[in-house]
Amino acid sequence: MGWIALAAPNVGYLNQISAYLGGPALPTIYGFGGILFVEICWTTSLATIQLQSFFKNYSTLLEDAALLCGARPWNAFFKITLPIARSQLLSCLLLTMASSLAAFGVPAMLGIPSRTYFVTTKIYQGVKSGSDFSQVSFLAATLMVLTAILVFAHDRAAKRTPHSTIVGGKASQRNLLRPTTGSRIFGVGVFFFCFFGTLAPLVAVFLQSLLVDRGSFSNWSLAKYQYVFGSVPDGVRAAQNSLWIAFFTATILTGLGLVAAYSKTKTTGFSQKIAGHVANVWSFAYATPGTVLALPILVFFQPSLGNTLWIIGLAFGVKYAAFAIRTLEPALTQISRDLEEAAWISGATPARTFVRIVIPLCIPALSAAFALCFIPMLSELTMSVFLVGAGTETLGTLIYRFQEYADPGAASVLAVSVAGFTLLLNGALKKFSRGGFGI
Amino acid sequence: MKWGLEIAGISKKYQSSQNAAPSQGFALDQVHFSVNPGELVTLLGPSGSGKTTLLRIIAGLEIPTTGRVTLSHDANLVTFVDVEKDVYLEPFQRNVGMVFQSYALWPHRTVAENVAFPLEIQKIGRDERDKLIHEVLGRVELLGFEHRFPHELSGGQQQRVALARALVQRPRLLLLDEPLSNLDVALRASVRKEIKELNRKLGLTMIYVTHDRTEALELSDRMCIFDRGRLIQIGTPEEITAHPATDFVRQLVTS
Repeated sequence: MGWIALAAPNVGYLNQISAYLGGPALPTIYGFGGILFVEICWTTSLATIQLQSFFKNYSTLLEDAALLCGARPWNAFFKITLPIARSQLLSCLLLTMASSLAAFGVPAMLGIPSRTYFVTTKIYQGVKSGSDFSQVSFLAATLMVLTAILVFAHDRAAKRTPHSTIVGGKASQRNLLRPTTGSRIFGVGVFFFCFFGTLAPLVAVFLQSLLVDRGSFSNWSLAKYQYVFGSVPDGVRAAQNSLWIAFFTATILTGLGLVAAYSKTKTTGFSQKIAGHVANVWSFAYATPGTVLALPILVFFQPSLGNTLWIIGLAFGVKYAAFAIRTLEPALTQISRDLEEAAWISGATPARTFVRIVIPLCIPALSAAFALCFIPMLSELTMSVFLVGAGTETLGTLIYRFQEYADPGAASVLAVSVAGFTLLLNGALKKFSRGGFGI
Repeated sequence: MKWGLEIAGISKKYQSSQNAAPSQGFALDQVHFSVNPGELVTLLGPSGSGKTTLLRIIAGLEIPTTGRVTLSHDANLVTFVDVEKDVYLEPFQRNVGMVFQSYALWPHRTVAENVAFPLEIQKIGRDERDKLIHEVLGRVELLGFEHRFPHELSGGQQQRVALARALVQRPRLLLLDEPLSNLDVALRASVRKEIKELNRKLGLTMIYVTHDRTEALELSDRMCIFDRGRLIQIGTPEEITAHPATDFVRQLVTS
């Protein structure tokens, strides 16, 4: 939505500015190139959140040791830090690839108008038109096979990567790397990419929600907000539905993810095997496109849960459980066994050790897992479009409906509300936990 | 209350070496010895000789393949593990203090909270708990550091917090796994003295793992020399230096 507001042919803000300055028109945002660009912008933020918890716990002493052995900074980074971060990077790669494979919103908004179809949008069109079911099934099966290969390859690679203990019993000050000219240039590049990739479209959507006339910057009003949350009965209800589903499901997934990740990393035998299989199933479910997942859920649960929030929560739970375990697993791997053993020696039972030692040490990862589940659920569209009924609309489906029925202003109001709420939530978590919670 | 320790026929074979030849694959092989109440015994040997494995078996963090570990005080007998009788006490049921080589301080807890943990588990009231924490931190000279986090302390201070945490629960036995290996030479000497003094003052039975000959000779009432999972010789430092049982022992204590 943000990039449509910015770079739509003729009416996009950037095109208007370019025309005003006598410059050329920007390449169209509709089509393959635009979709690729917007997907890269979106998945970069996902990858950053994923990698952040690893690097927070990473001791730069390991790089310092390499420097003392004569390595140059870039050499230390490529030969020490990157290999240590390999399992985390692979995990991140899997999640972002899976995310792009399953993408629906961006291909739907930027692809369908330009007749650029992706597998997910083809499935959506097939189901909505009620025809071509054999083609839909074939496409869904192909995507599932691709996903299975991806998950299998990831697990094979992750098994070969030695796990390193980063948080040990002997505490040390957190050292930061000294900035170099190269890292400063890189930092400026990252800033501009983040600004144009993430902030600029947000600003565009915000402007669109306030401007009465898209072509004029002189007429500002909150009328669209009053309209969406005052006159449209679906507005408040969709917000309540989305908040409730996202909070409830993310809480349950974080708890389940912690138990599964702990069993996988800290136990042996049967429980470890079971947790490993559960993690694989969750990864597979996440990597499976939402459109493909929503169909069997709709078929099996429509009679008992149809037209309720439970069916949407169930679908979200299946889809996003991988976020929880994939975020918590590396964090748990980094907690030295000594810390638990010291608690046992002090008289604490394994259950008590888990509650008093393991959980507090995992709080940054737990909050990241919760946020990674909560945020996409808040405005999820791919599965919701199949599962919502009268009274169970979600923010995602309402935004899509407004955008589809040529009311981008109303869609912007909802999008700004979602983004604002997410930012507020993250800020509050960080403030009240003194940086312990949040992203 | 002073407790004595008996190690009888302890062997440990790791899973990966289950199919190895009978003489191979043992981290520990038929280890027997006893520790008198209030005695400080060091386990000395090169890396991989099985001394840390034995310490972890005493703590309950590893289960031996054969043998028995018992603790006794007068007529009281506590069996920690007896493989033949299928007896095994969990680590949290043994009341054994342990100082880890890495110190294993919990980074999310302050010094006072680290030390308070065993007392919280024992459900000791806040007033009594504060008194005990104050007392034990005074003993390791860390008063005034209660509200600091482990990463705000030096290596020596962290080591003393780990010691305080082990002592505060009034353990039957104190296990120390190369606790001085991360300290500088000057600090090592002073902490060695403190440990010896604690042993004398409290009359606490201690098992001390080290691969440092000086540490072992200076601290021990008796020394156990280990090589490749076997207990080669046990005796006072004077006995061992005067009459080493093998060339390996001679090299170890004189080099």
